[in-house]
This record gives sequence, structure tokens and C-alpha cells, in this order.
Amino acid sequence: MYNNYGASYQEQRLQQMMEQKQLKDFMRMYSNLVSRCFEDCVSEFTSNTLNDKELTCVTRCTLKNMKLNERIGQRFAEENAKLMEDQAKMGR
Amino acid sequence: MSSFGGFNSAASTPGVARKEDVMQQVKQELALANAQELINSINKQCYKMCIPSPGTSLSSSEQASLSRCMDKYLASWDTVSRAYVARVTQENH
Repeated sequence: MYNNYGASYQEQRLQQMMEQKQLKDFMRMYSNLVSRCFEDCVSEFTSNTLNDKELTCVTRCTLKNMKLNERIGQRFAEENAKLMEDQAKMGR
Repeated sequence: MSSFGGFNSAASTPGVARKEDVMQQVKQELALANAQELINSINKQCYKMCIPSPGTSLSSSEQASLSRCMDKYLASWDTVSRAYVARVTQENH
């Protein structure tokens, strides 16, 4: 990873930092997801295992949240592209 | 939880560190941060759900509730993980 120094080293460091940040963001998103789905799906502790209803609920909650994130990403990219286009037009 | 036991003595000089050592260290740091985050979440969630009115000590029923809550939370973690991986691998095919 740190093969050469100088400008290329700087780039590698920067990339490594970005990857770490992405990883951290992912971990945070993941633990938020678990927390939210747990809160929405599990309400009592008469047993220490998830029953079928809770299992299905958590699975569906996860998939729904994933699809939501994807759609948000798509819309964001679309809006961002529009914004860049508008800014480019104004710059002329 | 046993996945982050033991730290290898990876070479500290950048030029010598092998990619595998760096990857291993990153994985361990990640697992540790992961575990800390997880314990925090469990604490917060289960306290909220199992201890409606705090007293001066934990009653045995509260303790039992907390224990089961943690088991269920970890089971949820597994379930989310499985659903997540299934969805991601489905997309890549």
C-alpha cells in the first residue's frame, strides 16, 4: 500500500482515508439499520430467540430500507446532475 | 466477538508492511469498533425497553429481560446481515 513516497504517496494516503471514511459510514448505517428494525419489530422478551413473525419483520425491514437507500441515491444523482447542468448553463 | 482477539505485530515501517498485514489490522480495528458500537446500541435499546422505571438496583426480572433483549438484538444483527448479503449478491448476478 505504501510502495512509493512523494505525490503518489499522498494520493494513496488520501484514498486510504476516503476508504476508511466510507467504511465508517457504512458501519454507522448498518448499526442504525439494525437498531431501527429491532425497535420496530421486537416488542417483548418472553423468549430469547426471534419468533417467525419477528424474523420476517426484520428481514422485510432490512430489504425495504436498502431499497429506500438505493432510490434516494438515484434521485440524488439525478438532482445533482440537473444542478450541475444548470450551473454549467449559468456559467456561460 | 472472538473475531477480534489477538493483534499481530505487523511491521510498523510503511515500506515493509505487507498488504495482508494491513488488511488484517484494518479488519481487527473494524471488528473492535463494530463491537463497541454494538454494545452501545444494545445498552441503549435494551435499557429503554426493559427498565421502565429505574430503581436503585436491577431486579432479577429486569436482568432476565436485558439478557433476552441482548440475545434478540444479536439475532436481529444476524438476520439483517443475512438479508443484506442476500440482496447484494442478488444484485450482482
